[in-house]
This record gives sequence, structure tokens and C-alpha cells, in this order.
Amino acid sequence: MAATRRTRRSRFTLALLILTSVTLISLDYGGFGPLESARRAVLSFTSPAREAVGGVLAPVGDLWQGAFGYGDLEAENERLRAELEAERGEAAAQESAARTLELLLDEVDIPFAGSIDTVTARLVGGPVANTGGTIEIDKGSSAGIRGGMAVITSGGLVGSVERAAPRRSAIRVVTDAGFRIGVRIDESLLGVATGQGADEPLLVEMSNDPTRPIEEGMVVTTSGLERSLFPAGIPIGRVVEVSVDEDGLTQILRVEPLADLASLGFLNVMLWEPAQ
Amino acid sequence: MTHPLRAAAALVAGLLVQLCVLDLVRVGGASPDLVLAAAAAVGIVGGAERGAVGGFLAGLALDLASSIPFGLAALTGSITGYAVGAAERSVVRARWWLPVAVVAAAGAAGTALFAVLGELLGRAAPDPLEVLGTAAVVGLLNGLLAPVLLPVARWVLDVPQRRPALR
Repeated sequence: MAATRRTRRSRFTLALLILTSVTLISLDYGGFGPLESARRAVLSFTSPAREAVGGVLAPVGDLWQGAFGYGDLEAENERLRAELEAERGEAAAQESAARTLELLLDEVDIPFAGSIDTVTARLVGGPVANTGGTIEIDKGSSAGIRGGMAVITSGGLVGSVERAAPRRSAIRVVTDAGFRIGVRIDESLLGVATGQGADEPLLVEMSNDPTRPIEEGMVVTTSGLERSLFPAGIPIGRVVEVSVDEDGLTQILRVEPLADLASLGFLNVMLWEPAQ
Repeated sequence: MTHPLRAAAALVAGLLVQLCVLDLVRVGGASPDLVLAAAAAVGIVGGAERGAVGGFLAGLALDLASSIPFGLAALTGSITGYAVGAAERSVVRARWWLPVAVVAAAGAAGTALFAVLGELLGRAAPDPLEVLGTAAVVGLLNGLLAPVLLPVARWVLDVPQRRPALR
């Protein structure tokens, strides 16, 4: 009898907790302010601890990485990656800028990303547990950073600021599932790119125009259309695969990010917010 | 009886350990998941109801520190804690190594549950093989945490250690 009562009570408790969780998820999707504030407060509290302990445990981490096969080459790899990323970014920027310049001469109102102030910040934290999603940098709202701002490296777009605490910010990486951004290819072809998860290329869908073929290797940039969350012309990635859906109306592109997301060190936050 | 202060201390300490230490331990891209391990440990020591509440609170802490849909880790933790607690009577007391195996299995199952619930909520639909691989690694790593977490769960819930069956 007592066992039955206990079982019934624990089921009731579970149902209550599930209901609470679902309510919290719904509130979060609705952009409930107090949840964001609570997350910002926790970010301020945990991020310095992560940074401090991370520094102390770095040698242990290196040892761990070494045990799995690539610790010896870490420094060399990092240097080579940085060089490669800078070169790729430069090449992509030149390619995109050359096309943009031709059209900008006639359309002077298009904003140019190069004139936007940036804040350089250091990466201090990776994804939490196995949840993926965000990374953390050591600058926040006290440096002028606000939610939604674009985060870049010399290679291209890394993501956007998810939330900014006074001295820390959480960055949502461009490959994170559900990350959506308006993109532009070859200056006039517009589409929407969505993240597909870590290490996966972005997916871009756009209408299929046989007169304007999209080829592998073309550079994808932010669209910068009115009400866009990002300024125009930030290189995002390079097309690595082009396919057309069954009805022939939509082109599906797979886009490899230009920024080397696997080895981020310093990042730049663009102090740019869309016009209200 | 649960000690609220002990529970709060364990929650804060657990969150910091996850963020500062366990997140650095990556095997095949996966790290130990203290939410699932703690939910399972509380379920083993305290039964289904306290397992569900413990998993919920641990998950809530992780929800606060991450950018997943708020409540997703709490939902996964409470279901995992409840399931382990419900199985506690029939399985867990039998042999000394079974609690460790149960924490490991709960870690693997909880990771898969997290991926499925995440997909239902519009997160990425990961490759099932990748999820299975991650779940297996998390299960293994969580099993290693069990000898530490079970005494902590007993301390928080003020439950004396049972003598393992000698078989």
C-alpha cells in the first residue's frame, strides 16, 4: 500500500517536472526576459572560473590531447592554420570586394563592413558538456558588445553574440543548428543559410535560375538587406557542393565556413547593430 | 532527508566541475555529463522521486550555463533520474558493480534522449551513428564518475551506505 502511494507520488512529481521543463522551454522560445538575465548572471559567474581553471589545467589538457595523437604538433599546426586562414580570408575578401566595388560605384548607400569598429576578444570557453552551441569570449557589454552583433576572424564570419554579460559574451557559432543568416552570392543571388551542427557545412537554399549558374568555389557573403542582423559583405564560406531539388525550383548549396572554427584564438566583434 | 544546503553546494560545485574540468576531457568529441551522472546517482541512492528532482535541478543548472533551449537539460535529467530510481529496487542493490553500470547506462540513454528531444525542439538532426558513438563514450566516462558521485549523493540525501551483497 505504502509502495503504491510512493510510486503514485513519484509519478506525479515527474509529471510536474516535465510540465515545468516544457513551460520553461516554451518561455525560452518566446524570448522570456528573466531567463536571459539569469543566463547572463551565470555567465558572469562561471566564465572567469572557467578561464582560471582552464589556464591551470592547460598542461594537463595538452597531455591529454597528446595521448590521443596530436599533441606534439599542436604549436606547428596552430601557426599553419593561422597563416592559411589569413590567406583564405584575404583571397575571399579580394574576390568579393572586386565584385562589390563594381556595383558600389553606382549604389553608394550600401554599407561597407570595413568602416565598422570592432572589439578584439580572446576565446575563453568552448561548448558546455555535450550540448554544442556557444563559445565564450572575454569581452562583454562593458566593451560595447550587444546581443546579435556579428563575430568574425580574418577568415570570415564566426557567428553572432548570443548574450553579453559585462565582461563576458556567449557566441553562437555559425554552424550551430538552427543558426539562420541571409546570404548573397555573386552580388545579386540571395538566399538563406542555416547551420547544420558542428563540423557540418552550412546549407543554403535559393531559387534556381538556370541563367545564373552557381559553381563550386564561389564565395558566400552576408546579404546586408534591410532589417538584416549583419552588415553586408562579410565573407561566410565557399560553396563546396551544388544540387537542385526534385522539382527543379530550388538550388541547395553546401557551404564550408571560411573561418577556421576548429582553432579559434582571438575574435573580433563588429560593433554594428541593425537600424531600428 | 535531503539537506538543502548540501544540495545547493553540490549543485554549484558540480556546475563548476563540469564547466572547468570535465568539458576539457574530450574523448572522440564527447565529454562526461555530470547532469546525467548526478541524476542517476541520486536515483540510485534516493529512489525515483528524488532522482527526478535531482536530475531536474542539475539540468536546470546546465541550462543556465549553456545556450540550449532552456529546460531541455532539466527535462532530460528528470526523466533519467526517475527511470534510474524506478529501477533501483529491482536491480541496483544486487551487486557492488551494478550502480556503476547503471550510471554508465543512464549516461548513454540520457545522451540519446537529449539528442532526440533536441531534434523534436528543432535542433540539428545528428547522424544516429554519431549519437550512438557519443552516447557510448559519455556512458563510459560517466561510469568512471560513479564511485565519486554515489557517496556525494548519499551525503546530500543523508542516506547511509548500504553494505554490498557478497556473491
